[in-house]
Amino acid sequence: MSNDAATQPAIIAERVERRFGNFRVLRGLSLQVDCGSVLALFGPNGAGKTTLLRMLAGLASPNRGTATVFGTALPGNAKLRRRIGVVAHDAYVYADLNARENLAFYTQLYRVTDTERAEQLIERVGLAAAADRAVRTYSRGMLQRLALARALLHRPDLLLLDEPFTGLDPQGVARLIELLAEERQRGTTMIVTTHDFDRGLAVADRAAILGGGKIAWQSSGGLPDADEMSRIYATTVSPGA
Amino acid sequence: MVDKISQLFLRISPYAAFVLFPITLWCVFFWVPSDAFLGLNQRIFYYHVPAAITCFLGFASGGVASGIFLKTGNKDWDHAAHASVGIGLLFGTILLATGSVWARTAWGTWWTWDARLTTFLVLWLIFASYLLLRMMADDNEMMPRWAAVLAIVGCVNIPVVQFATRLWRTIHPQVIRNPDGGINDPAMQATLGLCLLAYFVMFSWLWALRVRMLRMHDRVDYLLDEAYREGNA
Amino acid sequence: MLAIIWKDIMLEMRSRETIASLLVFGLVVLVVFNFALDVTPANVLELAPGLLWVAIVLSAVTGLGRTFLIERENGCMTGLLLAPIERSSIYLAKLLVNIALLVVFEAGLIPFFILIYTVPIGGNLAALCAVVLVGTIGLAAAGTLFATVAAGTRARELMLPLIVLPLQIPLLISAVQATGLVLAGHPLGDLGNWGTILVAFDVLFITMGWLAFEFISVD
Repeated sequence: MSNDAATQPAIIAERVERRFGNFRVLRGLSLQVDCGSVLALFGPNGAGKTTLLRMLAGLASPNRGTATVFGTALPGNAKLRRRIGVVAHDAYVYADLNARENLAFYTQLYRVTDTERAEQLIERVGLAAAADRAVRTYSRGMLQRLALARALLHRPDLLLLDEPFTGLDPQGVARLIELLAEERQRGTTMIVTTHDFDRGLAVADRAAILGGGKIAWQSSGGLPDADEMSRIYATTVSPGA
Repeated sequence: MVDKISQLFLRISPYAAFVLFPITLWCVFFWVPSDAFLGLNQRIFYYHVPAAITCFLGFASGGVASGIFLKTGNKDWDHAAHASVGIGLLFGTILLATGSVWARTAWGTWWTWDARLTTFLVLWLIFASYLLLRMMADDNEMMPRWAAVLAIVGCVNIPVVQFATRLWRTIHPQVIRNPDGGINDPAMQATLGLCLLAYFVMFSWLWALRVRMLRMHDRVDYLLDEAYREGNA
Repeated sequence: MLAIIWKDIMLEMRSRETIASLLVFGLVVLVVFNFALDVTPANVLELAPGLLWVAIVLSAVTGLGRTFLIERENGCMTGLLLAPIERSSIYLAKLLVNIALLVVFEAGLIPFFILIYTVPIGGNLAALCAVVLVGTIGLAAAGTLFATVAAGTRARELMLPLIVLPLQIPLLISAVQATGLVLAGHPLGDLGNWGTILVAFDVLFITMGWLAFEFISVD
């Protein structure tokens, strides 16, 4: 499906500018992500990765330029939000509820009809043993696992993952990579931001570097390996640039 | 558009203010006759009433500019609203002060909970909280939108406040269009009109200065961020 | 929307933090005012409406901030904003939860109020409850709208009363007058313009909150 020329790209951003307060975080960013493709997005701290993902999730509109997701101009609407899943720094779960109750809440909120889905995901992310404990007692990694289950709950067509590997133990990382591979099989479009070239490139079929509020580099054709990627990164994001 | 309006005001209003205010002083203190019933102290009314109208104008234009800002997202309108409310509040303070001075001589008390006094005091408080909100959340990128909503809600609330306080009580003199004891003298009307004009000019000048200041403030923030980023990269 | 209401009620039932602090705060205000004003059977009808509303308004304005505080932890507010629901229904859900909270709080406060000040209520308890309910809706409508805003400022607990109290002065005036009439034995039909202002205030602030919530929640 991703190679079908007739399907329009999942994400089209053209000369997008986005300010944070008075500061321009995105400065004329243009990006296109095809349906079903997985983009690994690298970039230094403060390059605007999180801002870009927040914008794509419909939490902020571009100050200039245009951006569409699945043909809907951002900031989009409730119908578009139904198709997007987000894993970000915060887990968006209630500390005084347990994992089951949290997912039950989001099941209702997203009108997920599959009643087994939440239970399956708890199993898949490896939280079955802790599912009845209040989330307040969870470690960072467990929160991250729950956040992943929450984001996958409604089978989104676009998955936005902001540093999804943070806090996860090796086992958690393996499960995440496995789950993302499954999602990719299913044809889910994804953007994954990370500082880890190995892991990022393992789940992606495209790579890009965000620098100076723009796409400073993007892969054409095949993906580079991690060593080459770090060389490209070093020259693209050179100090003083 | 905000930029153009403020540029225009900056060019014209200072001169107009310097010409108009001395004339109003002469009118109020030498030319206009004293009120038959209220006597000499009634003259403060020529500075009091225009302050009320200008204060209203400030709050109302703050509300309108906030609406445009929410609709367009153009920061200039946020500055326009911020400046309008701020200067409106300044005139509100002049209004309360001159009113208080007058009440002391006319009613024998500095303050009374009359409907109009109360209305303006409540409005003053509402829009003071607007400025406070802007101060207390200046590190939050959502703050301009919050302030805009507060300004609009404050404006929509004005008639409710007025109605409630009027129902509550009133002893304020009805001066204009009141056949007995109102201002029917053409000299009085002319003085009032002139003072009103002078106040509008003053408002426009201060407003334009404030808008320019807010723009510069933003620009400095932006340049500092930029410099920091450059130094950090 | 129902999901949010249900979740909030479940969280509150579990901790009972908000309702407990509201109640105790309300009682403290009533008790403190007794010493400030020296209420006697001779002046109770004059002072009682004001006392009741000062207790309700101050408790509400300090307590309502909490509803959005539970959405702050782990960035839950963002979770709600990402969900496929209209942002205005988040406001309505929070409003209903707040009204429910305040009603439960008042159900505890009013008997105490009547008791300690020996307020002669006569047969007008239903009318008193109606006035309090209509007033409460308006309080909650303005409080809910600006609770999100106050949650994002530096002096959170201070900012909500600062914004909301001046806005609510017409409501306070009318509620106190209407309560005075009701306590003096007048039926609801006698409230006239005071009733009109209360209802108008409710309608106005619910409408504005509903329209404005999208603007204050996402940029």
